[in-house]
Amino acid sequence: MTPEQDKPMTGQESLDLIQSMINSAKESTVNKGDGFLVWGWMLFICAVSSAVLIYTDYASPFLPWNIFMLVCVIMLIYGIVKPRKIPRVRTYMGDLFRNFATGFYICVFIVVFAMNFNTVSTSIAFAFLLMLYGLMMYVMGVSMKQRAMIAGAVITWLCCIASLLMAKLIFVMSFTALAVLAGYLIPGYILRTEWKKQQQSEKVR
Amino acid sequence: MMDFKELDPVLHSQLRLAIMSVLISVKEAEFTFLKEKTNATAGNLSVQINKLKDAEYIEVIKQFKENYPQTICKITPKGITAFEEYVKSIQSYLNTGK
Repeated sequence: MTPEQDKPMTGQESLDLIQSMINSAKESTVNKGDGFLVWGWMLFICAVSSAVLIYTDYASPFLPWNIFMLVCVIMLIYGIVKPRKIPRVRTYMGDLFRNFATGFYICVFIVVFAMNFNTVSTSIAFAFLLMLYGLMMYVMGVSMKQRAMIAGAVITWLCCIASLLMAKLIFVMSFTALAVLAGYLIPGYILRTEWKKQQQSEKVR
Repeated sequence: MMDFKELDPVLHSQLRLAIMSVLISVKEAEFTFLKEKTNATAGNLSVQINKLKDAEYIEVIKQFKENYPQTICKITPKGITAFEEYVKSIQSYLNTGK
């Protein structure tokens, strides 16, 4: 569209212009899925390696999670220190996700804190974390109309229930890996594919 | 050709309607984003943004961030109402014409 001249528009042309501009603005705010893939792979590797360490009777089976926590702290500090990129566009949904994510991480911190001070057992704490991850995925899936993410949320909640019923840590770690695969990695790759397709179609236009 | 006498003259312009359509879908957008989406020249876009601002359909915030000037545009409640009215008018006309 090149609305340089103010030529008269018919009703249909006006509606078409509105539609194309709204679609174009929406496309610019599409989620690339990077966050899902980065966090998804880190969580998946931690869960799988922890399950392997438990199976092999390793002395510190939660070593991957301790390293993960250290990485999280470094990323948090980096996020605070690094100069912020000025966003060119802000959406209501983007703001909602940011605020929801803040609340979500506070909840995660409380559960991790309780686990480290032995207030709740490790298996119960992981089940609670899965419950929170399920909630996050459900809210994002419904808002972004991503059926794979909603399905991932349901699978994560089922893994949460299974973890509560079968409190053995090796099962809990396996369910965590399954939940991450269904709730983070698969939706992450779907978002990435959709974003790539959209980028290609913008190049063609 | 339909009679546009009843349509809001501020919105019934290609570029101004394009700006409002982008802004209705987001919370706020920077000038460069609007320029990219509408394919307009900076000068023309600036003029049309001022017209929308004078009509109180959009709010324009000019600020400096990290030593760079930044112009942010945001639709106002009056702008949302005007946009909705405009869409309704066109839709009702198209429906009557069927």
